[in-house]
Amino acid sequence: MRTTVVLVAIVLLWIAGSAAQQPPARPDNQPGRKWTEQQLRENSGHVRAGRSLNPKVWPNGARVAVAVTFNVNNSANQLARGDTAVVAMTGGEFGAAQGLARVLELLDSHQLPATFFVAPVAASVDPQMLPEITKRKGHEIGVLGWSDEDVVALNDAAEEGRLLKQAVAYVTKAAGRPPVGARGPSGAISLHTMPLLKANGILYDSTLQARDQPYEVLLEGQPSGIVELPVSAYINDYRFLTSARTGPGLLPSPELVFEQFRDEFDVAYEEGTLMVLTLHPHVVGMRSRIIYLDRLIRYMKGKPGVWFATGEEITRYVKQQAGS
Amino acid sequence: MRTPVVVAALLSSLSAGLALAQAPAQPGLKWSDEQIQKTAHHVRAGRKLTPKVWPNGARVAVCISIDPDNFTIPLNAGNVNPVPISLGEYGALEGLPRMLKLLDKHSIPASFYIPAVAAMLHPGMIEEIRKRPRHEVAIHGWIHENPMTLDDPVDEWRMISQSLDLLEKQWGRRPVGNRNPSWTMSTHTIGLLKKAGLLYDSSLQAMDEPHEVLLDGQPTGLVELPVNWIIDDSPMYGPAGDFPSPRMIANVFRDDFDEAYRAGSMFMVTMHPHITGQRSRIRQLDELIVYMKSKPGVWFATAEEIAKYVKQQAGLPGTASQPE
Repeated sequence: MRTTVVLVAIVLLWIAGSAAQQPPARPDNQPGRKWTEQQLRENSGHVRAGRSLNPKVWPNGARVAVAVTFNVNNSANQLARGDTAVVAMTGGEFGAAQGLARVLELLDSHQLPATFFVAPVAASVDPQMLPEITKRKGHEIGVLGWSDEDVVALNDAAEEGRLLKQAVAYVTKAAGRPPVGARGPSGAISLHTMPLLKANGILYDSTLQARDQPYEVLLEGQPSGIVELPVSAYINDYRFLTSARTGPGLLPSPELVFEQFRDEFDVAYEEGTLMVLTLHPHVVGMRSRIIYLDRLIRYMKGKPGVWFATGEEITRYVKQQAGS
Repeated sequence: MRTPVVVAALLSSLSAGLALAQAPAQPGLKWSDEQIQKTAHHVRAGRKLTPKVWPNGARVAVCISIDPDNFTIPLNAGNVNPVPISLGEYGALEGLPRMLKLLDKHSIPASFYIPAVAAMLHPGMIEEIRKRPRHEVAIHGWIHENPMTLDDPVDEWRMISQSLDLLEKQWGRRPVGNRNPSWTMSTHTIGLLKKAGLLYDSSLQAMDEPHEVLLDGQPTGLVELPVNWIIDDSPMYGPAGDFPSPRMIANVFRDDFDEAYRAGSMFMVTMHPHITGQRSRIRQLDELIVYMKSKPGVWFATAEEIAKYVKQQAGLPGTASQPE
């Protein structure tokens, strides 16, 4: 009896051993190649670009619309990750302690409206920020998640919904009115995001990148009514000029970076569309960068027919022009 | 007595598993000379095919090659999140039309290497290319798969055949050229390209000049029009590129062209609609074309035209001058 048990055990172990000698079955990391046409269409069709909402003409006969936008996240993502690193935390704090004031002063000097997408956690850590923005009339506050969380990694519709609702409530209280614009925190949006934005009264998103022009978002192939004011990885200070907390960035020359922003503007101007510039107070608010933002604004203001507007103003205008 | 046997068996199967998990990273150090030679010479550069003179006495051949990958890379990886899908879709909605317009302005041809799934999901791309008969359409994988990690000749052949069929249906002609996705090949690829009866490949990097591909030491008749990562927009000035300054990288492209011109060989530049089709990048292509057109004796051609010409000049089998 005992012999049998031991023999069975040995046989089982032998099988286990020989199985271990087979190459381990690796997860297939290229599943798409086996999908049918139907599956390819469904899987790539959850959130797509619908009709262009670029108007025939911008307000007052302007040729181009420019939205200067800031992501006010400071250390919110670090906090979301539970990272207690002290020095890194000060890299984000720079946004509140120096960067934002510098940015607001520059906007004042040019009398330019801007849109601030704010992570409420960053706002609650430095509560002086939002009053500084709202006391100047003309700027818009939108939401940037709750704590600049990565909603794709989160992959939890209920939790994402809870965080968004909390963020909308925070901004509503702080700004005195509900936000109408959202940008995906950490540059990501999940497959749950768009329906959640609709349910929370958000009129426009500014995260996707399928066009240069404003467009309507399609959800599962159907027009959603959500306006997309597309951003571009090429008109964002972050990856090129990342703050000290994550290293010097991919192209740590503000001169080389801002010349690309100017080229983007030139083509947008020529084509009569939209430019959404994405900046961060803790990145562009540094002394060696803010001077280039000043020069870019001067350059754009030097052209006739440039409409500087908030995301909300642009959204309301293109919606009204498109009759929706 | 028996227990130690069981323990020993358990230990040995565990160690087999461990050995697999920590496979030696440098197995080649233990190869015989024969193994080294066989592996290194599996696919090699054969004789140079740069002709004595290019058509109409031109000094250099220039091929503008464009890879409209759109979102096939994330889709194949099963990543169907809205942001990466939108980033890729930019290529079809904005980038490709802008690049076609620029090529129209200069009246020059280009070769388009299109993953079949990208063509399936945005059929308007080849429809637009077809309206301009000077352009070429060639294959670029089924869904921008990586055949090297798949290492499966049956699946690879399925995808090559399906790609040729789909592009033939949309373009109206069967493609004669190949560019492997991400410039990766399996050890089966060259044999399969031969089997498919293709005229040329454009993925290898052993020379600047057109050459014949050797497979296991034997001439294949397959023409190679080599590429290089340093004359490719993606690793250089894509948003995560090594040096994302279009202006600085355009200097590198121009220097490369100058040297090709001096040597009388070929200049093959690789670009992507979702990168070079961006507003801040299209100007670099415009300026590069203007510069090249300013020199006498530059032959702008499709890769197919170049491959046919060098093959015929060299008297390779399977050409008009020397039938097989």
